[in-house]
Amino acid sequence: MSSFDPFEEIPAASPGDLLSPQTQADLPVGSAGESLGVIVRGSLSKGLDLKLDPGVSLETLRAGMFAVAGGEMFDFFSLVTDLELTATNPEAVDAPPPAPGSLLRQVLAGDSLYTRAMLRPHLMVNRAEPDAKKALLPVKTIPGHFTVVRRATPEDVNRVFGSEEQSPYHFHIGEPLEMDEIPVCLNLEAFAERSNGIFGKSGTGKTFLTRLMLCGLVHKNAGVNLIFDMHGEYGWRGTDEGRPGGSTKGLRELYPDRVQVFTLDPRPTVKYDREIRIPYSFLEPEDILSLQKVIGLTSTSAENSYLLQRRFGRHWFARTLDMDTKEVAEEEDAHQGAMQALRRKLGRLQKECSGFLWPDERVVEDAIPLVLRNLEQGIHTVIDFGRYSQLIHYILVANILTRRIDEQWREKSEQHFSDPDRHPRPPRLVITIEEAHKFLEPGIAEQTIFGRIARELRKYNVTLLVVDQRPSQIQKEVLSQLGTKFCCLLDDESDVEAVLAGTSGSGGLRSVLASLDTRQQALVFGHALPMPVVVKTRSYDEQFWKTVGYLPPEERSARAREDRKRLWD
Amino acid sequence: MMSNPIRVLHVGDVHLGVELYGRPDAEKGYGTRVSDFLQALDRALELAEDVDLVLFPGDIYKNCDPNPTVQREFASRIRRIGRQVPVVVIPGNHDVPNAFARASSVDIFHVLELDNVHVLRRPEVTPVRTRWGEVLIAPLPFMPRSRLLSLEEARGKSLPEVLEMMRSRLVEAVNLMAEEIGEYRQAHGERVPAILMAHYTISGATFGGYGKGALLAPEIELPLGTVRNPAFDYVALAHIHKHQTIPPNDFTGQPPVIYPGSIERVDFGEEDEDKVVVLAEVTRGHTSWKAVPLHPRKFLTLRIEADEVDPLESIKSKIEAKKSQIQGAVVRVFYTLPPGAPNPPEREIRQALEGAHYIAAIRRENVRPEARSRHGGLTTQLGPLEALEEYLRTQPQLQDLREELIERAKPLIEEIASRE
Amino acid sequence: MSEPAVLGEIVGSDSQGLEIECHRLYCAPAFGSFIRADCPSGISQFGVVTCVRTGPVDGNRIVQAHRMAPGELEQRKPHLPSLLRTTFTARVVGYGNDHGQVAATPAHPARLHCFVYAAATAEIRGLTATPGFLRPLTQIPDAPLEDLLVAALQAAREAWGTDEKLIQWGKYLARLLHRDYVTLEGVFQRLGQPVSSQPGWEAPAAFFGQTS
Repeated sequence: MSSFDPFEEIPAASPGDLLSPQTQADLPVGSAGESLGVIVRGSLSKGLDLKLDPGVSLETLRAGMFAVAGGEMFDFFSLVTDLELTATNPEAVDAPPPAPGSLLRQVLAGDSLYTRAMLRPHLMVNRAEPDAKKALLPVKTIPGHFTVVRRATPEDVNRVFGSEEQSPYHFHIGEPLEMDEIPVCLNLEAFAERSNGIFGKSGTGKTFLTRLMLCGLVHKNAGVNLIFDMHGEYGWRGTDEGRPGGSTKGLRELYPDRVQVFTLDPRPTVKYDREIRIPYSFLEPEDILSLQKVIGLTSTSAENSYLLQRRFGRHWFARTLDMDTKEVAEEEDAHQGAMQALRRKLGRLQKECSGFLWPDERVVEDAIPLVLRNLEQGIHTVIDFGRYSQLIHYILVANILTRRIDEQWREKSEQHFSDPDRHPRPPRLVITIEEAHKFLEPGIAEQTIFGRIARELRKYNVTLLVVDQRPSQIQKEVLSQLGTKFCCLLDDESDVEAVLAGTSGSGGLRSVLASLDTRQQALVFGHALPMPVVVKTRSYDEQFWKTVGYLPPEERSARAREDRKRLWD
Repeated sequence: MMSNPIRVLHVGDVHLGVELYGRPDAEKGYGTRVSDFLQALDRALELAEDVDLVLFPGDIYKNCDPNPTVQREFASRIRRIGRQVPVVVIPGNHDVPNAFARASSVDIFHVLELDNVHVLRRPEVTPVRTRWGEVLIAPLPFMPRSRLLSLEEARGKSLPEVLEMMRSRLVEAVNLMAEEIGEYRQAHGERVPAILMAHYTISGATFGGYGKGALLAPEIELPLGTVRNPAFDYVALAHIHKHQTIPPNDFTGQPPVIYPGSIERVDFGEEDEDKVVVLAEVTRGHTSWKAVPLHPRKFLTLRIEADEVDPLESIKSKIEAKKSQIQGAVVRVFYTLPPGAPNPPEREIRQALEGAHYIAAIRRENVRPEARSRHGGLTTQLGPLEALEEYLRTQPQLQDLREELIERAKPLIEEIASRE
Repeated sequence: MSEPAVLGEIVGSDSQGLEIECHRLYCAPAFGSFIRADCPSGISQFGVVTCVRTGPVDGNRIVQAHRMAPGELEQRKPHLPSLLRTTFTARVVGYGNDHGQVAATPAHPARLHCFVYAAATAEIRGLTATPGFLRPLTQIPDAPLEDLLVAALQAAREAWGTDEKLIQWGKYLARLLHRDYVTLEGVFQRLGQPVSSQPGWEAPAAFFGQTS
């Protein structure tokens, strides 16, 4: 509770008068640029206190909304992190409340009883600097007392986030809170440079957001995607309860010439380009390690697979299925129970994955080189799991494929580093995984391919797009390496904590995060954006598809007809 | 009513005009290899007697400028076949001049309006009448990159971007044809079968012995999912010389996606490849097919470890052992000798090779330490143990230690493998 | 427009307050109303009536009860008014002239014997354009603060003819009275009630035998 000195000199004009009456009259309540009040308190470490003008309707403010404090030299771009009702006179709140609309109510409103907004400045813009890029500075100071704070205008948003016209990589991801039709853009080139995360509890629109970003990457050529599509959401079609038929377009339908679908489960309802069959010999002990929780193995048992690989060589998996457990355990001086458990679980693994995990001699086509060649040529590839959508399938396949792809990418990158003229750098590869914490939890992330990719960053031009609802279960080091994070609503305190760890101003962002809508809103922050922003993400619909290069079939045919004339006659 | 299947003869790359490893034949006016190719073609065309449609999806000639004699030979055959059965030809990359306005080497048939011979230059669905009714042909002839580069929107694009554009245009051309087929069927009946003919690489195709080098040049690859469109009942491909299905060994998938491969061997890389044409029975919804072998000219590489004491005799005896295979074959001989040993006289080796159709090379490969890695047998495909065996095979001085060395190496290699 | 009636003249003054004797017995301005004292310097002083009283002219005399029925007193003791006088106190809230008014303490106290008038509507508006006039009113010891504020604000409100200023004054008062919420609450509850529901002020009436 702030103390109040009744005898302090009254300012020449009340805050609301700082704008001329005419300006105020021009701006309807809640509109962009509207003056909100003045800074009355603040610190660099804790943020700014904005006392709202009595005329400002509290209910038009939102946590996560943009506000700009116009200092003497800089505009301080801030997020509203909290809102507070406060009383200079506690008795006014304790006494029976005056009737609504009464004189007393009017007298008290805005002064004796007023509202404060807590702001967290995230960016300073030097007004004197003509170069828009150079003008953006990290916050190293704060504006003074009675600095007027206003709602951000479209120009403000534009100044900070740029526009799609600014560079070929600027991608419109949504609108700021309470500012419809003003695009917030994200630099996809910077985005694809690092591993990134999309988080949110289930039902918050993670999948839509992921589709959005994938479309961006495809449309803007910012990287080539490999998508492990656990639930069939990205390839040919995906689910959308809000649309007729409950389905929406996948990447393959949007970009028929640039996306291919490889499936583990060929079925007539899905358009796919290739089937994936994995020979036993592709399995490595590290895959078993990744799966240990899913198939219920102790780490001792799981580690026995290294021993078996040493013993049997390349075909260890096939031979383990046939081995005499007792004999092997004795000869290898291993715990027989653990060995038996491993043998049993591998049997189960083989059974559950028998749709696509085949003995070597049955596999006629190794699809992985095709995936690789696709990716090298810039063809985005979706791995479709069909009915094999259990974690056991997902983790196994993602691990095996990614390990091999990563090997190749490393090799090609090394070749490029040693002789850049002869060997072009492999294109930037973005690997999307869902349920990412299952790959990246502590104890597993250290030993598996995904952990390595996440940690080694962009050296080999391979990055991850991790999609998850339990970020707290992802290894901390991995989480801290994520460049840009999209956070939809998260309920669990530990998840919020984990996502924001290491972010400056995380205190303020926490309340912002907690106040997100359950759908279509996300707090976005990190490498690819100059400052954190809450966006109402773009709708994944016809309108959007059109802007990211989708041509409806009739137009596509018309174009093809036109091209036939131009190219072949 | 079950409609009769359309019997289709699908001929791969014909490549008339290849003279490599052949002798001139003044009487005929073209070399012996050209004769080989023509014979292969004739064998293929014998099958045409019992089919309803003959398809040539490109690369009739070695280049877009075939000599008139070769042209005459092909033209006369096409004409003859055309009297019995419709023939469809699309230009391949070897047929199309880079300047598009110039005629391709197969255009002439079109211009002459040979009965029943259809040369399809643009990707537009064309109904062809056969004795069992119409069949729709969706042609995807080769398009030179220069054509694409002439477009306004290709200006200033990087090579990968141009390739991307190219693939995108081709995919859309195929999709458009699939759509047109759908429309045609709505108007004329759902049972009309359709065939996609394309002169392109489908992703996942293996290049085989010939054309491996082509991998170095950026190649457009079309996705399997694009050509394996249910609108088509058969996908007749050419361009890759190795006979194969896509995906490999897929003998029942629908529609079948098939490269018959070239009708003759062009180079030693194809030594072990069978040469075939494909006979397919196409109906709407289901196509069965078989490969018919063509008995191409044999190619044979002899690798001989010459004996140090009497190299010539050792080489001759090895050749003698292969006598039956050498008859009528294009042969090359690589022999190894330890450093310092003099070359055996080549003339004598030639004599020993008598009966060969053509001797492509007789070459000594010196066994020098730095040359080992270039040894033909040593490739990265080999496992370490196999590589060791292969290496020891080429090292006569280590023969005595061979068994022991391998025994010693085994545990070492296994240990390393397990550590990785 | 007729000359405004003289209410009385200053009989005592200091920087904060004026003591005024009415020219007519019982004819004091209403409690809480605004008055103007015209000074020879040309600067008028303005005040708010904070206390009105009537008593004997001679300070040594004691007024005693006569125990007479109404009407009888006037008949039997007609000289009585000449022995009595009505005075009132006004808290100085500002000064000014025809060009404008400020709510501040004047540099010099008003001269004695200056005439005092009811402040004109325009003058009240000038004084109350900012809420500063309220501050001296809250600093009068022993004054019935709530009543005074209600009266003064009512007068000011009538001068403006709208309630718009009232909210502004209220916000200022809320700060002045931040330790006395009850008074603030009382003032604005009373100001919020329709005027008709309150008993009217007693209009000052001429006393018998008094000449104008």
